[in-house]
Amino acid sequence: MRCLGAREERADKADYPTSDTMLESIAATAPPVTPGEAPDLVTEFNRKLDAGEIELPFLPATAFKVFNLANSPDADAREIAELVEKDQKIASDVLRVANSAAFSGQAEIVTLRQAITRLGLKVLSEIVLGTALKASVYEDKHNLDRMQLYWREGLGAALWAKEVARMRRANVETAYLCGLLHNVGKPLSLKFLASLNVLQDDELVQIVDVAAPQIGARLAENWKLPGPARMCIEYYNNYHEAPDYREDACGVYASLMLTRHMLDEENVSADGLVGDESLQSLNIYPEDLGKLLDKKSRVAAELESFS
Amino acid sequence: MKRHSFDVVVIGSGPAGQKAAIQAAEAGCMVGLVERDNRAGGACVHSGTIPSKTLRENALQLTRTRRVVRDFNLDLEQQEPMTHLMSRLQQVLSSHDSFISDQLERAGVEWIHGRARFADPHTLLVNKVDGQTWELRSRYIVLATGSSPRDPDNIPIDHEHILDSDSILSMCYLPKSLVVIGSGVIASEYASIFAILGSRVTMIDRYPRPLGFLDPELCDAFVRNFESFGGTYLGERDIASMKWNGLEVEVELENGDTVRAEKAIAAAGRIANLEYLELDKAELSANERGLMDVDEFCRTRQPHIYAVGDVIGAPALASSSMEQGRRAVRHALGLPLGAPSHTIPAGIFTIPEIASAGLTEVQAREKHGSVMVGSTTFDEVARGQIDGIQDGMLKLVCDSDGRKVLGVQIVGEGATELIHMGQIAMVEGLDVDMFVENIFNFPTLAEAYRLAALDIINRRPKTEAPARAATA
Ligand SMILES: Cc1cc2nc3c(=O)[nH]c(=O)nc-3n(C[C@H](O)[C@H](O)[C@H](O)COP(=O)(O)OP(=O)(O)OC[C@H]3O[C@@H](n4cnc5c(N)ncnc54)[C@H](O)[C@@H]3O)c2cc1C
Repeated sequence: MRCLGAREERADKADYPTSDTMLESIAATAPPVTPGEAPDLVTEFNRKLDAGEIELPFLPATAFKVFNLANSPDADAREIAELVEKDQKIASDVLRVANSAAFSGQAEIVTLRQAITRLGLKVLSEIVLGTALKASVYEDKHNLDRMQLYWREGLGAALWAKEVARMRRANVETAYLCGLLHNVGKPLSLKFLASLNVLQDDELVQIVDVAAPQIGARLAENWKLPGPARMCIEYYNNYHEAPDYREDACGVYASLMLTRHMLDEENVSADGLVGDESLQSLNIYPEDLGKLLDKKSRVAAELESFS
Repeated sequence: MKRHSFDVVVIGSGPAGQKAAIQAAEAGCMVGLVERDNRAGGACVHSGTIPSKTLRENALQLTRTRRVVRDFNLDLEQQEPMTHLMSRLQQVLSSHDSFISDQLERAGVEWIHGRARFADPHTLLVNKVDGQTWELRSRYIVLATGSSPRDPDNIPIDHEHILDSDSILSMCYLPKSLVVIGSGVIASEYASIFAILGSRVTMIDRYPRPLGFLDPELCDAFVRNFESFGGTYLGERDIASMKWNGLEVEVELENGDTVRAEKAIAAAGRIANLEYLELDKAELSANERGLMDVDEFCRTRQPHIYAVGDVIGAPALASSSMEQGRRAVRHALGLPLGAPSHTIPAGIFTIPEIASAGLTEVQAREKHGSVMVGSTTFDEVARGQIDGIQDGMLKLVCDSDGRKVLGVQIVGEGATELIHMGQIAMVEGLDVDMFVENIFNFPTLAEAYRLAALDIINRRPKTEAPARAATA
């Protein structure tokens, strides 16, 4: 958890460039693609990336620093407050989320110190990482709905992964990070593909689903993410094949299923979840699933507070 | 609903259940082994004995390395992520896992993955993870469902900041400070492991001393070592409340003091896993301590239902659980039992190790009146000096004639292995003289037995025949 990497040189920029500005630039030169060409697309993505024709988005160093610091034995509330205060955008996002229904008490939180005292360092660091990730990777003026869905699935998986980890006596902090980051390849792939401007929506979604793990893996490498997060990004929808951290990847997949159920009960029913292989692999019995689902409204409220 | 019939159904695949199932299968029975987890082994393999001992071994290795690094002026990163410390665990667990599964398969035991509960005294319903239910009928049923950490009402365990002895193994970095609630074996083991790794550990319990059931000299040695690693024991304290305040864990004590730490572990006892079994359907119930009452053959009130291992309470050790499982099935099947073993050694894997067999000095005096006690420290033993074992001690408790061994207490690295020599002497009713008359390898810690025995022999009444007078 402490080894999250960051691109220090961008640390103090308050307005982060997002991946769409970078990917837009290649739209004009990219060849058209058709469905089923996801592997080619990954190759093309990698080629352009290696050639320096496209750039990966970055997370502001503050976000990583805060997350690392809060999750390390050296956590120091004052130091963290100072770090967050320096980054105006993060600071205002934190206050917005901290004052949302899921987190705030009766009194309004007006300062970061207050937010830390009220919410604690861990929650604060999760808010910081979450809001920074959203701003950096998931914001895109062309695909608002889909980006919003990917973001909600990522954050939802993070929140559920904590509950699943708690139930399984696995590490809760690692689970959150793995859940949050598992689908970062999707917004990247979507932006890359959308920039080619040739496909219908449904086709686009299929290709994104196939290409995302490998494209996400490049980002994980670039961001120097810890082992479990890398494996979850690359293998969450194919967890049987994960060479390491298979249970973490399976946990993320199960958490994604719980998120989909939470977001779309009509199409993903609780009964359907009972038969889900990932939940069975984690040894989650129907009655355990019931106990997990009892937390649905709390998880939903937390999810809404970020959205 | 799928239906199956067996001669013997065992519930739980921990040490007790494994041995029961294998014994029954070896006797030619059709055996079903029901386990709710998707791996065999129980608490012993997945959250208890083996993981904690692996962590301990790695902690010791790290400490030795640090000592070498310091002595040789090398450089070593200060904070070791827990995942590194647990690195060998997966290896140890998977080889143990496949060993157990192979053994069960070779014996022809049928593995049934699911949660068992009674439908009637001879019928079990097994809830499968996919939502199916199976029905099992059996002539004999062995309950070996083990135990889980107790979840006290005033301790809000969240498995993130306030952990229990299961979730402690999921920590991914070493906390700077740790509060350990409890003073029993599990609490003391984890407290000493984290203290030697460099966490600032505070143990809190209502008892005046940790490991209070042990010989006071052994307790003292534990506390001395624990304090030398920077640990603190707060005895005779009750917890008023405990919470994660967003920044750290805060423990309010009844006396008004507050203790704060980055993480906390509650090791305040264990409870038998009986809640899911619907015992009433088998016309059984747990006793007032939440355990199963059994007779000397581990038989419950229902003569065809046995209970073994942690569900019947003390000594609640992997070693005794295995033997209970084996004996229960032999009794059910009418096979010869052999003499029961009354001398069960206790091995406590604190740093340093502690081991005890038979009676402590206090217990021996209560039971026999006068006794003779001989002791030696490990720095009087060549092996102890070579290995740099500090604060080691072996104590022999004998009858008033200074002959029959009644108890052995040892503290120091190697104690849990060394205890078995004393155990055998007691089981065989041997005189303490045998530790002097027999030749052991040199230099080994076995010499400690010889020195402690001499301490007794040389203090026997002077009527002793000259031939038996002994010297070092
Ligand atoms: C941290 C720790 C350290 C320890 N160190 C030592 C040590 O050094 N030496 C030592 O001898 N002992 C040690 N112990 C104790 C030892 O682990 C236990 O005494 C031993 O595991 C008990 O064995 P068991 O078979 O009774 O139960 P368990 O090992 O608990 O196994 C019970 C099994 O039953 C299953 N089960 C429960 N209910 C059901 C159900 N309804 N249906 C199906 N399956 C069910 C459980 O999933 C579990 O797998 C330690 C324990 C802990 C927690």
